[in-house]
Amino acid sequence: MAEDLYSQMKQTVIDGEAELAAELAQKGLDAGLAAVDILDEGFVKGIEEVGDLFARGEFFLPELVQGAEAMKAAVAVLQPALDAAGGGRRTLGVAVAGTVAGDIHEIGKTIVCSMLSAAGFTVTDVGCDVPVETFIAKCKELKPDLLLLSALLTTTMPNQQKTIEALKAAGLRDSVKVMVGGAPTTRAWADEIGADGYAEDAIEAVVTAKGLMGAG
Amino acid sequence: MLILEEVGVHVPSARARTIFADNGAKVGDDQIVHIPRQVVERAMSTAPRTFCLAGREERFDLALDGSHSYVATEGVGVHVVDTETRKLRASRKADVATFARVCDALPLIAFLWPPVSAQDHGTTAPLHECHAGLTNTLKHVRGATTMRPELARYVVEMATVVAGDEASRRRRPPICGNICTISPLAHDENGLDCALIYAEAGIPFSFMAMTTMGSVAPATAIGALVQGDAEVLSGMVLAQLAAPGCPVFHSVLVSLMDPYTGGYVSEVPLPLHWMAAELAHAWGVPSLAGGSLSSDDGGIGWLAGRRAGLGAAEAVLSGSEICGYLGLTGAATVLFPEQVMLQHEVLLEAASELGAFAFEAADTALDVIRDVGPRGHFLKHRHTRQHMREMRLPAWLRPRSPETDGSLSDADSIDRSATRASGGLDSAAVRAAAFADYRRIEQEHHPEPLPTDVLQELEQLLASADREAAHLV
Repeated sequence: MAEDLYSQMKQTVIDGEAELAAELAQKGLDAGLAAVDILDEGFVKGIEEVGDLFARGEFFLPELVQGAEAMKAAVAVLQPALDAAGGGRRTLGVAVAGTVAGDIHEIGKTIVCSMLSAAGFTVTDVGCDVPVETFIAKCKELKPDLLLLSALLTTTMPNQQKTIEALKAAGLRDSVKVMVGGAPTTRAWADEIGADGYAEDAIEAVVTAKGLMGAG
Repeated sequence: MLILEEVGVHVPSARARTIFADNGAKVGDDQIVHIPRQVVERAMSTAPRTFCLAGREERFDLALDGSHSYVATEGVGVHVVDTETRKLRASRKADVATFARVCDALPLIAFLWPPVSAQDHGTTAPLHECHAGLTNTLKHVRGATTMRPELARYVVEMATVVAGDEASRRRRPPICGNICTISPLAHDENGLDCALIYAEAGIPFSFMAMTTMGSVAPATAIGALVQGDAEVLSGMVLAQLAAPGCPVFHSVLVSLMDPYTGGYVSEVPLPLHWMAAELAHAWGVPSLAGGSLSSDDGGIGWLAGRRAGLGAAEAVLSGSEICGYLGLTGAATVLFPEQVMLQHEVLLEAASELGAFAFEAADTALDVIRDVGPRGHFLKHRHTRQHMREMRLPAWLRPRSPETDGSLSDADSIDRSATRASGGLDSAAVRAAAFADYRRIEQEHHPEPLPTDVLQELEQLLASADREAAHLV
């Protein structure tokens, strides 16, 4: 019975069925299965399959995003039980991502967050038009390994630099790796402002993030 | 109209929300505005169908009247392949100025949209781009865009200085603008506030929706087009409510999300540009649609050439008043100098082959045919000498050089031989010739400068804008 349920859980992630994934997660808990087993044998197998299908070009980005959403929905149900048991999904790292102040473009950042999540990172998306102070506050609160700053306008790019400067002023610069991205940014810009990483697209963002965590 | 009425659009500008509310739209606490059908129809009834975008001289004026199509440069990229170092670097104001002179020299470029950002000027970059355009081309400049609204008045003032006075500026505006929406169904606060300033000043501008299928728009082409239309319409309605009769034009550019990377793909193999032009005309305004010669591909090889050809044909055939972006590669981010020349060459061919043909003035040469008669030839006929230079030949057609014909032993040699046999150049030589042409224009073409007092006044305006910008939070 457990194997059957794990198989269904895996399939909900492959099919991107977030509501069903949450239902099955609860069903598994109600059946007395350990939360960590539900996660590892059911949903993680699904997200791994989604990742493989994407890497082979058989799945497109929307399927990856929807798989990640299903995973997120299941984890939300399992989290209290995971915390109680002292376990959880193995994470490649903790990331905070946002679009800088004055800029409300966020689709690229949203895609990156989904892909990082699918790849095994724990991601907090703080949205768009994020003031420097908010990034600093989130870094103090969540102590992320990675801070991802997105900007889509040449006029808002300087806020990526300001955020890095603010991290230094707050004594946090050495505790977090900073990645920058967005259409007007370049590797040269990232180097100029002292960022640790740059990515031209979401695929490269995952590779760069893994590299910065020593998992690449 | 269903989308605007039932789904609504996000309007972050308080001033814009007040205008909508005062005119019968429903404004929610979440800044979502629902615009009833009758408000849309009433507003759009005041939008002018035709107006002029003026050059410095009337011969460069563009009549947006539905019977002319004009090609613009593409904007606004952020990288330049430097003509000296041949390396990619960030764009600067000087690049805008140089490109403006190149556009001035190329006959089929009707107006300048600054192709790259003046990134060396920070917050006032758009004003410096506008200035670089106005001072380096006699053609119309699309210099008004989204910026801090405190600075938008400088665009109006620059336009007034160049035109001479307010009445002239309104009658023959030397600057137009573009405000991008943020899909899906949202606006930029500064963009809306700038749009209101331009509308009240009579500076023509477009709202431009760039709906990307699969990410910020439906994954079906018509869905993306319809959503974009709703976004643009909401902006045009606002402009008409604020300043009835202000000149606005409609622009929807549907793109595709790269399904593997999430990136931007502009080359959508559907007749969407034509549809967007028809939508604009259905709303009774000019259209900025009509396709692009520019390629998503970063290079200037076969793929870019294919795109340039298709884009040029679209530009000529789409019926859009403004169409056919020219000048950038890499999904509208890179200014590659020789690419500009190659694209323009393709456009000349397309315009020549597909454009309007003046049948009334066509010479059937019946008397010459009669003169030469059966089994004669035309080589010696004066008519041939008079007319054969009227045929536009590709700019880099060169006399054959027999000593450079290669052997037939490999693909490269066959390619070289075949190319030369047809009177052409191999691709490396074409690229080199295009680059040489760009450099020649860069070094030799200098349009007549503005009068000294006008130049001084523009400089003073810029300095004032820079000072004001320094104090903006």
